[in-house]
Amino acid sequence: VAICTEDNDGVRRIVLAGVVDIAQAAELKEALMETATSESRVSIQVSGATSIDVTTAQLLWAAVSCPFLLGPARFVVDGPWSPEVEQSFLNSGLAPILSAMLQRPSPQERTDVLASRY
Amino acid sequence: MSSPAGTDQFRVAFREEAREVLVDLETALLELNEHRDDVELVGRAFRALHTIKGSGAMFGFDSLAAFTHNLENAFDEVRSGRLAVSAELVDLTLSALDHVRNFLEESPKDDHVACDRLLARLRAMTATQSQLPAEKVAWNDLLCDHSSETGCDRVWTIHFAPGPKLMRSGSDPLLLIRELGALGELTATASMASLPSLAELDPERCYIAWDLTLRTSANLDAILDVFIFVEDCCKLSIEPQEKPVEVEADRTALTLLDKRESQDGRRHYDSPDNSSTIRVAVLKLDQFVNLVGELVTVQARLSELASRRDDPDMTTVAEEVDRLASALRETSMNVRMMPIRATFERFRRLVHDLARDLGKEVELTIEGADTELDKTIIDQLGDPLMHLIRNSMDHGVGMPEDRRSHGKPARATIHLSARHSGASVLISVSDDGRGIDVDAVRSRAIERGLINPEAQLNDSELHALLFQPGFSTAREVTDISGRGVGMDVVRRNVDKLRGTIDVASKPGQGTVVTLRLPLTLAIIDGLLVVVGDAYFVLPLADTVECTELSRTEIDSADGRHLINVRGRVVPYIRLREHFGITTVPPALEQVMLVDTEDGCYGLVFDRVLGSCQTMIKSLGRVYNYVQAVSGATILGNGTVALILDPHRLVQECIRAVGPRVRGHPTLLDRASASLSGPGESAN
Repeated sequence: VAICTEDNDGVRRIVLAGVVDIAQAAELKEALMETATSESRVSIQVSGATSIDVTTAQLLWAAVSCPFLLGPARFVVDGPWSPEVEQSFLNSGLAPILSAMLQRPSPQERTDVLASRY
Repeated sequence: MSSPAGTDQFRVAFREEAREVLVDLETALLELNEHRDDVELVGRAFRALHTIKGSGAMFGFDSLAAFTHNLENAFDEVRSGRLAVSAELVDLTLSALDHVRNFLEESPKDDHVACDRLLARLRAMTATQSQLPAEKVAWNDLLCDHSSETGCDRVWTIHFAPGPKLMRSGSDPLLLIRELGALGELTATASMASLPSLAELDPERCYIAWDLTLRTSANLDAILDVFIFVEDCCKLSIEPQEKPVEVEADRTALTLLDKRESQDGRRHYDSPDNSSTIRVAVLKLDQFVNLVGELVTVQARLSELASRRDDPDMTTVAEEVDRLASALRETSMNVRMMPIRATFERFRRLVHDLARDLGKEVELTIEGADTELDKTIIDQLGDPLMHLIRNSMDHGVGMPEDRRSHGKPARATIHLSARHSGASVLISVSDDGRGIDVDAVRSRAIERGLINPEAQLNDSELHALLFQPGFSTAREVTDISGRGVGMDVVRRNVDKLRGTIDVASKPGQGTVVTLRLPLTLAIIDGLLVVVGDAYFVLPLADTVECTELSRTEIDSADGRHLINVRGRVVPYIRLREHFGITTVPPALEQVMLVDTEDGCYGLVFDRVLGSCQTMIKSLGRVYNYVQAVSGATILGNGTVALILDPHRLVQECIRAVGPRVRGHPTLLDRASASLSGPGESAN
């Protein structure tokens, strides 16, 4: 199972495993949208993913960069990225974005992201 | 969405597309063999190989990609002027394409030994060819900028923004960037500026755009080749960043880029609407046509219902539905039509290989390749055309010295042509060879007991013997022909397509075999007739004229089924008797004269209801043995009407009377003999 949603101790988790690419993109978006309305922190665990593509990267970035457009949930990407994923994004210009996802953006940073867009 | 299903779908699509690319590649190679300095053809071959390799790797056809990579390298050598095009290179590449086709099979056979041998030959060829003389590489300037020749690095600024369809086509921008990185020193900056919010985001679209800086010694063409699969679905601009060392060289590169942009206008934009075609499974298309057929049937019922009720509103609706159903039926038929080009083009390879094997010089010319035919017909045309061409190559076309001695050019021509003729398409295979030796045909037919030695047959009847099973005038069986199987296959396949064959030949001048085929198998123009309670449709294309048959004529013929049509004795078949219909016949029955391969026959029925355009529904496998009925259709009142095949109906009746042997008395002969003798006019 590439995408699995868990709910333990008040923390919702979306666990990515193996190959998560365009074939699972719709499913991943659905999982993110469903959890976006929850009141809790949503942890997206990516360490089990051995391969992701740009569609996955985009969805995760869209979730972590401006979550409160959808609901109160706060998405957090919990790494680390697997060496395979890091390797595949090396020199692609997206490596900084993958790194940035693992950092916890402050509310001010998130606001800045929003402000820059709207 | 599940991964394997999605992947399978892409792999299936790749197989289909790769086969199409192979056909194009084969054509390019054969043309290249004739015009060895043609830059455009070299480029076409290279791009095709690059496409197959790149897409193959993308969809997991690793062996195919690795194998094709070697071919691509060889053509890169050609492109850069280090390897000359030769007959050997073309032959080697054509053989390699057969292996590529094998890789594309669901279960490819293990031919790695042959592949290795072929690649070894290819490597030997590329290794032994020396640098071409300077004048030979002049055309290379068109494709390569000078910096690559001098070994200087150049910095390129590349903007790459995938369009909405790029990801769905199975392409991966990361792989493209990696491939670009392999050309030199790459710096990539990704922009997420176009990324919408999660709710608005289309999960299968790439919103990221890249600004890339590449320092490389590779030429512009090499950079463009990285994006060769995605050029239709991305925004792409490539510009040299620095002033080049040689101004002229930079102008060449820019001119090329400008030229490419202006030619297709696709380099700098991507629009969701710029794709004018989509690929649809034939099965879906068949379902669509079947459903339209059902709709037409329902529409006919509605029209009949409306005509019985005196309700103007209902009549208006019925007429509107009728108009729409007719338009839809016509459109659905058009959807199935496709040009015959691909079928024709694939014979270039056959002719090339056979000419080489037979030591003959033959050119294949093609005319009317854009003529459109129903896909089902095109699919079934390959075998008959192949046998006709093989026959021409083996029997029709002579050896170069033989042709010269007869005052002909050493190089023979086989001409394939297609054109519309009314509701039919005429497809001809002609050659400028020896022509058919009708005396040899006659002798062979007598030898095999197919005709009596005294039988008087004209050329057309003698030519028809060529299509008898096992008939061959060849004294030796070769790998190519001589078993008498091929022409029988032609006849059977053309029969299945409801087509006819015409042969014209002049000794010493050549032979023309013309296949007349219906435009479509799914719909026919017919004449609806009735016998008792049973309805039949006669294909209008086969009918000649309608006349009447009175009780008196039947009685006076003394049980013989013959009618006198303006002095001509025509045998007839009473559908009533043939199909065992026991109702009382009318005093005056109708006879439709139909033109069949066995001559003119009359089909007798009670009355004509009118003409109709009808969708043919198969009777199903259970009724496969029923030869005289080609299908069925449902009439407006819900009744089933059988669609007759007059040719087979007549043949069935001839068989019932006795075996049809050329030159021996036929049904007509026997019947006529009892009146006034075969071939004579009745008075």
